Amino acid sequence: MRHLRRGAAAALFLVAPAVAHADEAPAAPADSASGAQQLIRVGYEDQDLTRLSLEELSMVEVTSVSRRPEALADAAAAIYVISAEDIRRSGATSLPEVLRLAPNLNVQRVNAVDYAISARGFNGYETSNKLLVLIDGRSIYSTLSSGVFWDAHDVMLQDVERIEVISGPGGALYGSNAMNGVINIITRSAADTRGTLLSVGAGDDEANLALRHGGGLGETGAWRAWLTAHARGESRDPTGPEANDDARGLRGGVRADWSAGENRLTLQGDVFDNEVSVNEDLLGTDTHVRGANVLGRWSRPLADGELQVQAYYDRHEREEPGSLEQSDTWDLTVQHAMDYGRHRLVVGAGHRVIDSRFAAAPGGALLDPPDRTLTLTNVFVQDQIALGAGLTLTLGAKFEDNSFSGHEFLPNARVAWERPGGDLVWGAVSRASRTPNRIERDLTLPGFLVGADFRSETVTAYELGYRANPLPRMSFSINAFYNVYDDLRTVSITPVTFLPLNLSNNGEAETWGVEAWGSYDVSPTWRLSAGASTLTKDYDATLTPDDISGLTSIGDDPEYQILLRSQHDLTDAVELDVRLRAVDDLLAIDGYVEADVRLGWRLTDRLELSLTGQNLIEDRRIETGDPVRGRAFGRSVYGALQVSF
Amino acid sequence: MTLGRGSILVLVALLWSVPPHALASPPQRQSLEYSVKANYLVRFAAFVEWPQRSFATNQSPVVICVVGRDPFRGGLERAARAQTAYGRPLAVRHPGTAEAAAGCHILYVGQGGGRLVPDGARPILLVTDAAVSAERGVIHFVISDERVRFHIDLQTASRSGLSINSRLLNLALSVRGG
Repeated sequence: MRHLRRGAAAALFLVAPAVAHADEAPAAPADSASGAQQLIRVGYEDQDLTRLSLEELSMVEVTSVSRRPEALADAAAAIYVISAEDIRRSGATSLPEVLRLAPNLNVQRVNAVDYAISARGFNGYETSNKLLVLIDGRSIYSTLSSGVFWDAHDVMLQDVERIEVISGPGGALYGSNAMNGVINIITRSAADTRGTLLSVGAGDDEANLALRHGGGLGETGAWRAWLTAHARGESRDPTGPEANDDARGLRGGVRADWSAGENRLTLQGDVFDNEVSVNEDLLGTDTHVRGANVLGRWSRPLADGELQVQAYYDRHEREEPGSLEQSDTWDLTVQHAMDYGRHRLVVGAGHRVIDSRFAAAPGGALLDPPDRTLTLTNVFVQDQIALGAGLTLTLGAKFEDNSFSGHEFLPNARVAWERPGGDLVWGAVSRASRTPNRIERDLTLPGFLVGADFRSETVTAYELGYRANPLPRMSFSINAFYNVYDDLRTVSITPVTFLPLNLSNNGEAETWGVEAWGSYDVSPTWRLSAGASTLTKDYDATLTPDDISGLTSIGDDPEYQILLRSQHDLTDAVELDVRLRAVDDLLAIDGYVEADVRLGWRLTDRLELSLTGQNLIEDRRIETGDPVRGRAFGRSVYGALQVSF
Repeated sequence: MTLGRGSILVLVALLWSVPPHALASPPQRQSLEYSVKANYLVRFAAFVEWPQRSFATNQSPVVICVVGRDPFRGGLERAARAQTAYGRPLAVRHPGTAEAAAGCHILYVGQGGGRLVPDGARPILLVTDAAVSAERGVIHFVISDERVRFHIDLQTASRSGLSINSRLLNLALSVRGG
């Protein structure tokens, strides 16, 4: 059965080499709700604060009464937060590697630059298409495939304030691609990045440089400009001597933040040019990914609440052997949060226009029509109602209209009960969907595959969670979910003639699992953390005329993964971090256990050295079931020096 | 779907139609500002060195005091519970006289607490708060970009016989003297 399923998938996708990056699901526009990060800010209960370092305390937002964010500790959702300190101490050198810190994400490294990342299943380079990923409010999932091309997205890690990882539907404020999760990456305000920072590092697999300089802008503003560069060597090929995936790239950006009276304004943008020699067609041609974006956000208090307006433009270009994909995206979101008696109400609307162009070499797969202008419009409302006795009811709904599948209605209801001891029980029922993408609608292989009327995939998600601080130095969170999916992507035949095939919505599945994480401070200088997640999938992979793929869109996921971490300050200046992760088998790939160790040495206040050993246990190991793109990884060492002044 | 949409809307409408005062009072989500300040006061103990003579024994606690109005409402005691600094336990006190306050190691000056600050250059980390008064001690809390930050007066600190760890200095918005 497994062989058949894999075979069928390989057959379909091997015929479509030109669309290498597009195979799966793609995407539609996201929704706007990028402003949502404004509402779920990290908050801490008193007892949580005692776990924070001095540096972390200085980052805690203490918004004034008029702009109270929902405390993270009160959010009725499965949220894991990666702090700036966690990022620094991880020794990770790229955004996807940092995301390995979240127990509620499964990260599969595919090759030197590509990753498959998902929450609650469906992982795989081509099948992970149910996540909404935001960088400072800008959605980065691809219009072409609904997945995130991680080779095109990164940030200057030293300037990240925190990353919020929500597993499960993101709720009304986030919108339709937030079907299985949201990753919300938030960089620091320019006011917090004054001065110069230089970080250089090199190891046997990669070299990186990051440079930033920031300063003041008048009395109430600040700015920064930054530049990052990376070079990665070839990964190890699982079978032959050549992995052919060495890569290099440059990225630079600026950000400015002002406050003028009650108004706050942010302007930021970045531009990048990455290239990688992954040659899936064996022609040896480099893949080039280039892009630029600019974003503005303005907020001010309004009528017992806050009004926020955000707009961005994003340009993206991917040139591969045999294809050129370009997109221009314009996005506008307006959101008003206000308090009214015991109601905390958020209303908003967003509109996005994506101008997508795809040119393919003759004879291969193509998109028909090659160019499309897609729109995504939504209106959302959420009411958080304090019912008393620690009970909070949150009702939200989003109405969305997209070019491919028309209207969607996405409601959710959440209940949180904060008990007198400070622990919290929550439950939620949500409906979420993933709208069709260009590949699902337009991918054509003449005579073999034709575009059809692929509709949205949907899920009804049931969640239950509990979190507590049973001891002053201990906290944990445990969440369970049960998801019922319908209209999942399948591949159907044409009756009688068999060909051409078309992408259809005949898949159904149920998934369930548990995610848990916690930390314990053994002493003020030593913290232990652990996290685990499980996943069970129930689906029918029988090959039928309705689905000759055996439901490959279900992804290739481990049934469990376990993360352990120790963060230890050996002395005032020396810190030792050890991370272990155990990941269960994939369909055809063995599970693994890996270890990363980082030793950091603060020579002076301005100078820090670190030495990181990655993947220390195995010499050669594969993390992904992708038969074409997958490469192997193993032991590597990386040294870095960071100076700030 | 139609059913789902209908029932949600009815539910929303019902909840809105109930007058706000008919149910529990609105949630008073207290600002984190003072929780953060309380935790800073506790953390400071590990990043400041007092002269040996300011402790009776090796096991004597680091004494954190609040004079004037206590804005922490128990938060300081909670933050200090089970914490140590240089192996010493932490104690929280509310001295009522300047003489009693002379035994403090860290002294936070709340509303109306100015008159209880002991005179002279004693080894006391005097912490003032822009939310209370513009007068500055060794450490002066301010709100900057929606975070609780502080200024450090290193000159006064060394005159008091205190040495301040560079990690703390690093976090200060400004360091005076030194």
